[in-house]
Amino acid sequence: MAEKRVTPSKDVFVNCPFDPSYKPVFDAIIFCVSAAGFQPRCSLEFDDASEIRITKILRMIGECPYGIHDISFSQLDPSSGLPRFNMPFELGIFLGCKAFGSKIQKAKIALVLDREPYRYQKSLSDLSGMDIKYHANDPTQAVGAVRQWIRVVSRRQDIPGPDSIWRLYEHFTRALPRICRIQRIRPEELTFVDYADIVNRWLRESKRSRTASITK
Amino acid sequence: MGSKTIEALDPREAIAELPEIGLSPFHSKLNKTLLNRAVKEVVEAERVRDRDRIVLEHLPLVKMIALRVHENLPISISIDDIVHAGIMGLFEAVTKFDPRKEVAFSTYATQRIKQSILDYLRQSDDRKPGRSPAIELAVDDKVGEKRGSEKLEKQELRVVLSAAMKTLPERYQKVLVLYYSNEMTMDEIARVLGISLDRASKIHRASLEKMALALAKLGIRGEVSEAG
Repeated sequence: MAEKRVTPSKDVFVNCPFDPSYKPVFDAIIFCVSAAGFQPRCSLEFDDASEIRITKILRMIGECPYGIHDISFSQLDPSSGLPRFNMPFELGIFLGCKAFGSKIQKAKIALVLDREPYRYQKSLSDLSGMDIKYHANDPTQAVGAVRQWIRVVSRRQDIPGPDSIWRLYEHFTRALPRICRIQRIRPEELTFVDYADIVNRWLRESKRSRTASITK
Repeated sequence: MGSKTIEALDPREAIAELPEIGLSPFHSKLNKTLLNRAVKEVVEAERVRDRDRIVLEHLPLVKMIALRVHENLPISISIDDIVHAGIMGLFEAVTKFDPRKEVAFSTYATQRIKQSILDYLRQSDDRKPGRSPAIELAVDDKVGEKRGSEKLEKQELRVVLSAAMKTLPERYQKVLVLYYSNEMTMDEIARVLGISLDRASKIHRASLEKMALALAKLGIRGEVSEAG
């Protein structure tokens, strides 16, 4: 009997802050992952209230061979004065799966992002020795870091360069308000699922439209 | 980042580099039909805007090729028509250009523009008795090479054109000088003269028609005067 070939999953677990000040970086990362032909996943995609949050997160981490973890918001919450642990906690689960999980889980690959060099040594010194990338809260740098990482870990040759992705992202950000206007929704009202869906459709349609115009 | 700067990268090039994007597994609560229509509309509008931008950026190239071709053609052939044929070629070039072929767009467009002008000249020549092989020569790369008799003809032509131009109002003369001698775009001319782009184009067209009429009075008939 022929051996069944399984298509490798392209799901990328995006473990990033949901703070409004981080949104430009978050949106750019989601776009970059999609433009590279991968599938961004995020805990914001859940709308099933019957499943408890940690179960959903564990299931998602288990399903994603790739993970992008941004620890730049591991800081005191100004409103409560308490530290926020969600991102380092989910990074820990991801690394735990990689260390102790099955063969598939051991193949997991993570990108750890922070906003400035060596900041993690004060807040999360256990990560010392890991190759952590920095974005300075700048979406362009974040796109550059994510694209380079996807290119290296996936070993795929067909991933557009950082300049191309950024250029496309600029185009997309100009198109998004117009798409939203037709949808009669404000861009800030889009959920993660709406946003990821629009990014995917825009990329597919842009590719189809340009190819059609070239081959016509 | 990469070897090219963000500014230098053409959006068409960036889109051509995209890998195959799979269908989204997400099911947003947005209206799917409306969303598909919105994305299609916006992408199409962007494509047309990009195309028009590239066409506008390369209009001086059309003008340069058209002028070079025109100076080797009989006066009866209107420069306006040559430019028009060239613009058609440019539109075709923008539509059919494939950035993945690693040929500079201007190189590809030059060939398309020349081909379109040649096609136009052949078509108009077919309609007249006694086809002129000079048309192929005019579009050929060697058009820049001057021959003695042609030089003389050109000098005479300049005198005649200069006389015809003097019959035009001052503003009309300015538009022609800025367009053909200074090689400015219509947009630039409009800004220099403090008029709208549409008005500048109308003055340009009217100037050519008036010049054709003036030339007709001197015994030189062109297609513009017939059209006008």
